[in-house]
Amino acid sequence: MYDILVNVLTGTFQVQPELVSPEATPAALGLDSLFVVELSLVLERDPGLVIDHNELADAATLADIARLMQDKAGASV
Amino acid sequence: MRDRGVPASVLVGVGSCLPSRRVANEELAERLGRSPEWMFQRSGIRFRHVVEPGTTSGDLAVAAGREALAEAAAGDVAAVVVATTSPDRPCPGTAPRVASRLGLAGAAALDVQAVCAGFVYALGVAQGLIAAGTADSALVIGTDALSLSVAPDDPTSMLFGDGAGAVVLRSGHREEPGALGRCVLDSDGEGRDLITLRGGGTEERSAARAVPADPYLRLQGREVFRRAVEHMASASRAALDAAGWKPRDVDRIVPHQANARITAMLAERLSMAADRALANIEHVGNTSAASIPILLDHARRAGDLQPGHRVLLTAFGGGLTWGATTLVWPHLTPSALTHSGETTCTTSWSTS
Repeated sequence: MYDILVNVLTGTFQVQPELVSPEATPAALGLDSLFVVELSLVLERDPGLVIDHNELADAATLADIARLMQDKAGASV
Repeated sequence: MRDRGVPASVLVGVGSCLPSRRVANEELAERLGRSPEWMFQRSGIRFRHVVEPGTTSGDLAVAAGREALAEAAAGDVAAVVVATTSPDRPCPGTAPRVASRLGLAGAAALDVQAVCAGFVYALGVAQGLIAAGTADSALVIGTDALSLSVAPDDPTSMLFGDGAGAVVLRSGHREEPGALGRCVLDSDGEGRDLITLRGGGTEERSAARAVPADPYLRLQGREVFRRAVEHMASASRAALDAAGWKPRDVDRIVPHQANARITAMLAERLSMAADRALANIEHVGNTSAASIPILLDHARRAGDLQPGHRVLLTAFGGGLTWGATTLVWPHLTPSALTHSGETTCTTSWSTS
């Protein structure tokens, strides 16, 4: 899931790859508070993960977001 | 609307009016404690036009309406529908006075309050009047001056600009260019607190304790963003289905100008190329009910909207309300009318 997240960040959100790490926060990547809504909408479309933006807002780091994605993917299987 | 015996509503004129005072992000930066670039990144907005003291949403509506009537060469219309959330007065409606000032004696005149979705709702109302035979033509205006309704120190205030836009509809056939498709309209009152102005209504006046309600427009940005994308996408799909179009058939999307990032996500949701979505939010901000007709007027003047283009209109606003409709853009000749009346307007957002 972390790799999918990185692809979304560097693709759709045009984040510079060298800034991306599991410990990085969205704010450190230059992403503001609307980012979690955009990410929620993007993930819902592909790979089809429904994650509320408020849950994404509670995830501090990229590793936390990837964990949340994994949990949702597991729950939907 | 599918019945061939039912008159269609055909767009035959467009007009718009922006107040001449233009406010750049730089002018708001100190008051809001945000940088001009932060505002642009957040919303896609660099400028908005705002009314000077003494100018009302009704004044803007008259100027836009006059321009649309001139293009339509319509000396008279049978109905005036004004979409606004910032009426001249809570009572009476703004539309009757607008009609009188435009010399439209005897026209049916009413306001529609559906916040930023107001123009699409007003199109639906006018379409119904024409389909029923109540009116053979209608002037539909979206006008708002929400710069007067936002708290000066609230970052929300950077979003809103003032303006008015108008179209003239006349009775015709649904095969004609300019004929509106089905107006898809929807709502969810459970979301009313997401975009709201609590003061001034009966809730405040009837409250047991005489505590003044918040007099300013407030919105909850993240939840509004999500619902705007989801609802405009669903309404757009329904309007396209009603027209028998696929998303790939659409040449231009004319979405309510709420936030450039909402428009980008909407295009992505609809699997449409982002460059098919018209935009002027950078120069005018969110003009609420006026945003779609202002954008129509600007885009056709700029050549971004051409006769024969298959056009999708969609909007989302407080209520919650949302909607969409379609049309094939008709041959129109923009009016050379200059605003010599009581309101100083500009019909372009050029920096000159």
